[in-house]
Amino acid sequence: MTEERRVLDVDRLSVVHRARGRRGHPVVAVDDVSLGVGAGEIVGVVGESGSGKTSLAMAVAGLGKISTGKVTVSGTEVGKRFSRSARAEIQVILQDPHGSLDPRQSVRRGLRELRGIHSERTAWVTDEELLAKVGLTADLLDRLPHQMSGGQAQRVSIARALLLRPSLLLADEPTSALDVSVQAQILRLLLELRRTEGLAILFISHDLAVVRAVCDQVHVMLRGQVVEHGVTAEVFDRPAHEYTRRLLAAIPGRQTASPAEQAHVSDDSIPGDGHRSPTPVL
Amino acid sequence: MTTINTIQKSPRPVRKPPAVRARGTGSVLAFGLPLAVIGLICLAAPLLPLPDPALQTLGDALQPPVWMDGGNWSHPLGTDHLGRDVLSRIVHGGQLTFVIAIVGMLAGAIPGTLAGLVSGFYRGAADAVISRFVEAQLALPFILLAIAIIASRGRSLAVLILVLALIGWAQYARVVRAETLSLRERPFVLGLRCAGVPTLRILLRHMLPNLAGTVLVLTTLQIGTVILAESALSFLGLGVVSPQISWGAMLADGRDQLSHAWWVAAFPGLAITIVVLLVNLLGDAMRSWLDPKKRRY
Amino acid sequence: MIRFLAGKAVQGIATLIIAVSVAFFLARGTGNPVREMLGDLASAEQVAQLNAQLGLDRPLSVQYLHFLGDLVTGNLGDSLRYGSSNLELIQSRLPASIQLAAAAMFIAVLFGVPLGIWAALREGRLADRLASAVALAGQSIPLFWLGLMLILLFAVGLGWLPAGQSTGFSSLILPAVTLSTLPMAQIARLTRSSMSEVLGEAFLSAAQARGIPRWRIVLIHALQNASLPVITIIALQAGTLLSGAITVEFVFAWPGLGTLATQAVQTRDFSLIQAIVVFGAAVFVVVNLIVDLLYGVLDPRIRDGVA
Repeated sequence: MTEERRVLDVDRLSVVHRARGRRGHPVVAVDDVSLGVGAGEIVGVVGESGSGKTSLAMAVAGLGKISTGKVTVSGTEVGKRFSRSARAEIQVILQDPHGSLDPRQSVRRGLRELRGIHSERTAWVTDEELLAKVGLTADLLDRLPHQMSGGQAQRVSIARALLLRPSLLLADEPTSALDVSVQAQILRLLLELRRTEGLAILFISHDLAVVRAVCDQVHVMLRGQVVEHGVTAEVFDRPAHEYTRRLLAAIPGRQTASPAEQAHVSDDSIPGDGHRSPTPVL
Repeated sequence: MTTINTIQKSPRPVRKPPAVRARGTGSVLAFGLPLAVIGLICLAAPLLPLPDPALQTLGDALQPPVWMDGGNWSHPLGTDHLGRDVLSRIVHGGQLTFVIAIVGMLAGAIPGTLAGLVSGFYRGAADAVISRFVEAQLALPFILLAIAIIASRGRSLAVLILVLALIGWAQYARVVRAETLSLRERPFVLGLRCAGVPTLRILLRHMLPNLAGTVLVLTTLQIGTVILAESALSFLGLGVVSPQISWGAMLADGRDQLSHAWWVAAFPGLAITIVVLLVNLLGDAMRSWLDPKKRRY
Repeated sequence: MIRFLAGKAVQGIATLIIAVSVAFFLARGTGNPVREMLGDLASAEQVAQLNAQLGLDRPLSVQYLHFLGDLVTGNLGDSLRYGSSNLELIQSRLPASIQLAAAAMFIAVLFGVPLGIWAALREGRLADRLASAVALAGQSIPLFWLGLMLILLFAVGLGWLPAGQSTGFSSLILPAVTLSTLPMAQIARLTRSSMSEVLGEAFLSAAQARGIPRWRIVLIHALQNASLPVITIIALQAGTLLSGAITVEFVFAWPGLGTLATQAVQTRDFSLIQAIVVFGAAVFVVVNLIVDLLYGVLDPRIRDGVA
């Protein structure tokens, strides 16, 4: 644990949504949650839909409500006065790869826009180098989202996030909309970027197999609360909370290697440093 | 059946290959081209070898079209009660009809689109106020409202455009609002905000281009509505007045001659019908061209 | 349910107030009806006198408050031309308008719904395209022109039907048919699209698999499911027909509200015009309220604020 070099610090965060509809009561989406992500660390948050994962993610990204508590990213508190450069410290990867890109904007124009807004942070890399980092070739630069596969679109999203040199990547179900084989490739890419770019990742998912494969630590959420947390292997091998046990029992057929496990294996086989040749374009 | 449904509902978004977009171009051209030709003919009216549309030759009054007994080629579609050439008046009247349609459409489209954009994007109080005004506008019977305005302000082109803008804007605001509401929930908007892209830029450079297709379709269909509205007002004597000519105004003239000279009223109405039909067909074709999934009957 | 209705009613009243206010300010804001009434030759004295007589010399805000106050008490003012109350004038013309609107709506449903069903069952085929063309034509023809052409054919040419005025059942046919085209087109389009949606759903195939004949499935199941949007359009169009029949009434000299409005324009009776506008907006709002109510009754999801 690298307590002193925390990239993300969530301190007793609660998110209460106002009542919707006439009979509704206020909904406590996130209830007194604390968690931290150290540099280069991948921390998982698992839970069913409705467990408050998304509200947590939105609050952390500075896009959602923070009712009480504090969220700090690289020493800056997330809140109303969230400066443009502080905002860049945390970038998001979302579930729907095509929906994450403006349907009318080519990759090149999108990157140019980001460079215009964050000129001070984005000079470190050319468009071509950036795409190479996520395993894409430069001929994708002039394509529109609908001219790409899901995996390519998700890689473009990752490249866009990477361009701003964030210290934390918030990945909200980054692979659940993808084909099984593509899932493994994206997970492998995230692991590789952690190694090469020192990226810390808050990984939100309902897919326990995926979380087990990529996360160093895991937090299990139930109805807005973290019911269990710890080092991934320990939580998965010796679940303390009944709910975690139920979640684990629900993982389907574990006799064949899941995509996540494939990714895990491939990750181990990646050479320690230096640039790999780009992952084959899908 | 059940299995097919399950497969279709898998989370992987099915994207259409680019080739599909080309489908429908044919029908867009098939309706757009004749419309463009009609528009050009009307705009080029002064250059065409047509008699002066205002020239009164009482001796030639109420001549029937060329294919009827007593008709001749000097007035292919006949003459009205003042001996004016019907064909020439239709072509010249088309000028004003088209200009009013386009200006009236724009006068509604621009404020309507902006109102819908603001309403759908910011929601909250702005949305509540704008939505209430949209509903109020839609609750006012259009022709009655037009009558009320024109009766107290008198007839002029400016008032006519104002009235036509009033029928249009609420439609745009409603449709654009709905589209914006769903668009702003799309993940890419979250991504842009997270990347620190200023809100105004998101609105103008990301939302607006994505709404362009919808607005374009609506604009096309709205031209038809505006032409119909203008002709109705002019027919009631509330729109274009002599010596200016529009198709609706010609119809009003023709109504009095209906029992003995049907052609005076029939042809301008036919012109309106053809143009509006083409505009509606073009709008439908554009809708399916821009997004085959949204294709409606 | 009661809260749902109350909420809708408050919304409706707000809409109505905004609507009549917009109409008031658009009509009086800068224009001066007296100038329009008396013409350019009137002397300044005459204008001032009539202004004072009508209360138009007072500040706009005072006029507006008076206008709203009168509305609350149900007073729509007196006609400048007829000297009687506007409300009475409207009431006297209303039966003719309702008669025409009802007849038109009857024709529209009678032909629009079967046309839509037929097209949905033959989706993509010739019949579908034909129905689509008919519906589109119905939306593209200027109603008053269609009316003129029908008069030309059936009254002037063939002499089968009277050309205008309310002189019994036969005189209702032409204006009602003319007025029915627009709602008929809309009803056909909507029936077709909601039917084809319902026809694609799994429960129909399931019913078919259980051996229920196809025509029964279509008639009972599909029609039931497709009825909600169609009812909406019928109700909304009914509101529009009452006030939107102006050109058609004008063509056929039908003694309804529309003709009253056009006469009011010719005589510059702006008080009467204003009353008719307010009445038209009120009808529209009330009809909308009824539609919401129907929706709430027919589809519980809407009532509970889910959809």
